[in-house]
Amino acid sequence: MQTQTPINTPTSPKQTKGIKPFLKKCKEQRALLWMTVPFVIWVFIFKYLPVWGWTMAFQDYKPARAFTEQEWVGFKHFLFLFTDDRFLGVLRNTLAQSVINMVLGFVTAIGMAVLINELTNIKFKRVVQTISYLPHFLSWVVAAALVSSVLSIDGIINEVLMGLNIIDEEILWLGIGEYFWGILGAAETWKNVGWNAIIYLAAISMIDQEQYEAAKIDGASRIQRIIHITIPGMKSVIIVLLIMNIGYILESGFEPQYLLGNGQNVQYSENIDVFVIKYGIAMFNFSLATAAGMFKTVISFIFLVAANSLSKKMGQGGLY
Amino acid sequence: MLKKKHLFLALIMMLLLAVAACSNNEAGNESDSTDDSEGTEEVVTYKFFDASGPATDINTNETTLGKRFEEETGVNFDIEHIVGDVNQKIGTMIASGEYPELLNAEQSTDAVIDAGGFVPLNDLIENHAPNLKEMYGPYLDLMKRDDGNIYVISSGAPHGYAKPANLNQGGWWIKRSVLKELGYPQPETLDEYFDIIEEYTTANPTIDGADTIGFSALTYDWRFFALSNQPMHLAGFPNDGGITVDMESQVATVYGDKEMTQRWLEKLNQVNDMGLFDREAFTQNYDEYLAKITSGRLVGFFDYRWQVGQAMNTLAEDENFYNDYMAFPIVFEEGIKDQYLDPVGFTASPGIGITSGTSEEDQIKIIKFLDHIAKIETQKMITWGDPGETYEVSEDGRYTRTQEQIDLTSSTEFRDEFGFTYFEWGWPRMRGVFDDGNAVEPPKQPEVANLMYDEGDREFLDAYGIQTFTELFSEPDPRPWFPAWDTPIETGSEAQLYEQRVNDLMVREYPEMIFADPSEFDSAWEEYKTEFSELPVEAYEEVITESVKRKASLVNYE
Repeated sequence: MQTQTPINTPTSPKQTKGIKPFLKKCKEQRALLWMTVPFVIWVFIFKYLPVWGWTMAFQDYKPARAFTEQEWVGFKHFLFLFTDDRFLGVLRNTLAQSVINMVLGFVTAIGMAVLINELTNIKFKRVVQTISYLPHFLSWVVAAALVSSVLSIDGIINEVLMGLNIIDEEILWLGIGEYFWGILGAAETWKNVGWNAIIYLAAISMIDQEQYEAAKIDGASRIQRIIHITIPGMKSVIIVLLIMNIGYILESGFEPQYLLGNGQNVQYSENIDVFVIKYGIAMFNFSLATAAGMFKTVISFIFLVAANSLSKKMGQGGLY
Repeated sequence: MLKKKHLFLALIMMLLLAVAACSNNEAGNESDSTDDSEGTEEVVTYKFFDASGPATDINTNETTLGKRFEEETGVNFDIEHIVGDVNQKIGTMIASGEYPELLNAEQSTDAVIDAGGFVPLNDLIENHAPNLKEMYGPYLDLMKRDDGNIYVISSGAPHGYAKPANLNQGGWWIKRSVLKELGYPQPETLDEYFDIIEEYTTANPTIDGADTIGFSALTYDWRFFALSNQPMHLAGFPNDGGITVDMESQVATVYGDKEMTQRWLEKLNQVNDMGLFDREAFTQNYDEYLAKITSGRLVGFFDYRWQVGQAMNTLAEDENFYNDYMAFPIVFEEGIKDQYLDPVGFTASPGIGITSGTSEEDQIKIIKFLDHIAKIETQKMITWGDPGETYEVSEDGRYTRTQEQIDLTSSTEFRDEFGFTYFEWGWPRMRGVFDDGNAVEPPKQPEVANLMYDEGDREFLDAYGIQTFTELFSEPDPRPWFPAWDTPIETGSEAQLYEQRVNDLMVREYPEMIFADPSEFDSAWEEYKTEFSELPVEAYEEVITESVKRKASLVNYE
C-alpha cells in the first residue's frame, strides 16, 4: 500500500485522467516524489524482498544450503498445521485473546484520554499520564513476573479478596484455564492503556476550542460536550486505528502467553505464536514457522481489506 | 561562498578518512591473527562462543591458567558466553554461516553439524593431538557421527569410577529440621517418604507463620522432567531420560504410559488429596520454586542437585544448618536397587568443535591448544591447581587440601582469577581417577570431602552412621550406553516430533491427573493413555535402542 503513495498524494480538486496530465503532475511534484524514494526503497527491501522467503514454507528447509539444493515438499507443512488436533484450539485462543485485547484496549484508551483531557489541574494531569504509561516500558519478562506474583496464592489479589470476605479460599488464578483470557486482557490493559491514550490525546488537542466555547454558551453540560464534541472529533483517528488493528487480528502477542502459560491453562493460553515457537523454531523447523507466518499474513490481509471497504461503505473513509 | 564549499569538502574528506581508518583497523586485527605463523611466541587470539551457560566474557590469558597456556601454545581465546536463548543465538549463526573459530553449541550442536558448521576433527586429532587421542582413545568411536566424522569434543572422558561424596544427581530431599524432629528416620520407599511428610505437616501446619507445604515440584518450561522422571528412578533406573533400557536385551522402552508412571501419579493424586501437594506446583516459575525452597516452608521435593544448586548454596551459607536439605534414594518398594548416582558414562555431545571457515593453519593451532589441555599435568592443573598452593601431596602420593586451601579454592574471586571457573569444565577433560589413584575432581577425593563437612553436616552424618552423604546411595551398575539421552535426534524426524509432543501432553495432562478427585483418577489416566498411544512412540524407541546398542558395542567400562 505504501508504494502507492506517490500516485495518491493529495491533489488539487480538478482531477484529470490520462497519462499526460499524470506525467505533468509528476513533474510538478518531483520534489515530493524524490522525498518518498528512500522510503519506497526501504519498504521494498524490508517488506517485499523477504516475501521471497515464503518459498521456505514449501520446502524442507535446511539452513546453509543453496536454494537449488533445498527439498521441495509442496503443502506438507500447511497440512501438518491444519490437521493438528490442537490447531483449531490454538486459532480460537489467538482470535479470542486478540478480540478481547482490542476491545478492552480501545475502550480503556479512549476513556482514559477523555478523562485525562477533562482534568483541569495540570500537575495532576501530568502525574496521572506519566504513571499510566510507565508500565509500557517494562519488558514482558518483568511484567509477567509481577503479574504472576500478584496472582499467586499468597499474592495481593487473594489477600484483598479474602480480607473483604468475597472468597473463602484462595484462588489459583493462573491455574484455572478459563480465567486466562481475562487475566491477559487485564494485564495488557494495565501495561498499555497510558501509552495507547497518547494518540487519542493528540487527536483531542486538534479539536477546535471554539466548538467547546460555542457549546458552553448553548448550555451543553460537560458530559454532553464529551459526547457531542470530543468523541466525534476523535472519530477519524479511531477508525484508522481500528482498521489497522483489525489487520493485526492474528497477532495476539507472544511473550505474556509464553511466560504466563503453564500446564493448567495451556488450553486457553497457547496461541499461534507459542505453537510456532514450540513446533517451528525450537525444533529448527523453519519451514513450519514460515507456513504459519504466511497463513497469518493472508488472514490479516483479508481482514484489513474487508474492514477498510466496510468502513468506506459506511461513509467513514478508509486507510487507502 | 568559497569558504562554505571548502568546509563541505573538508567534511567529506573527514568522513572518508574515518571510513578508511575503520577498515584499516579491521585489516590490522586480521593480520594480528593470521600473519603470525613464523614463531609460536606471537600470540593468536581466537573467538570461542560458549553456549553452555551465562558467565563473564573474558580473554583466557587474563587468568593464571590461561596465561600459562598462552605462553606454551601461543593461543588465547576470547570467550563469549550465551545470553538468552541458545537455539535462537545458534540459529542466527547457522543462518548467517558466520561462526567463531571455536564453538560449544550446547543443545543446538546437531543443528550446527547438519548445517555443515563444524569441520571433521578425525585427521587433526590423528596428526596433531597425541594426548587427546590417548585420553579419548576408548571413546573415539562413540564420538563419530553416522558419517564417520568427529565434530565435537565433549568434556569428561571416563577413567575409572570415583563415587562422589555429595549428591549432584537426583534425590528425594527432606528438610533437615524435619528429620531432626522425627528422630532421624531413614525412608526407603515412596510410602515411607510421604509418611514422613504427612507426619510432620500434620504436626506443624505452619512454619515461621507461613503455611507448611508438604511436597512441591519443578515443572516450569523445559524443566518439566523434574516431575516426569521419577517413575524411572523409583523403579531402580538411572537418569536415561524418557526411556528405560533393559540390561539384558538393551532395548529402550518409553515408560510415560506404563504402570510405573501410573503408580507415581496415583501416589501424587493421593498426596494431593491429603493436602500435601503444592497447589502452585504447575503455575510457579523457576525462580518462585527456588524461592520456595529457601523460604524454609517446604518439607520435601524431588529434584536434581544441579537444578536447585542456587537455592541449596543460599541455604548452606546461612547460619542455620537445619534449614538445609538431605537427600534419600527412594524406590517403589523394598528389594529394588536404587540407581540415582550416574553410572560411568560418556556423553558425546555437546562439546566444543572447530567451525568451518577456520583456516587449516588455525585449525592446527587450536587442536594443539586442546591437546595441551589434554596432557595429564594440565589436567591436574585445571582441577587441582598448583601443588603447595591449592593442594598438598602426601608422602604416599595422595592429594589433599588444607582447610585454608579449601576456602581459597571455593572462593569465586580466586576461581575467576586463577581460571578454574573457565577451564574446570567444557574443555577436554577426564573424569574419575588418575592413574596414580587420586580423584580427578577434588571434592570426590575422600580426604578432601571429609574436610569440607561442617558441624551441621557431621551431626547428620553421625546420626545416620555414614561417612559421606552418598553412602546411602547404591553404587551404579555398569551401563555402557549411559546416558541414553545424548542420542542425536535428527531434525524433522518423527522421533524429534515425539519428544515435543510427549512433553506437551504431559504438561497438559499431569496436573489434571494429580489434581483430580481420587475417584476420577482412573478415568483421567485412561484418557491420558489413549492420547499417549497416538504418539509415534515406536519411532522414538527405535532411534534410542539403536544408539544404545551401538554405544554398548563400542565401549566397555569394566
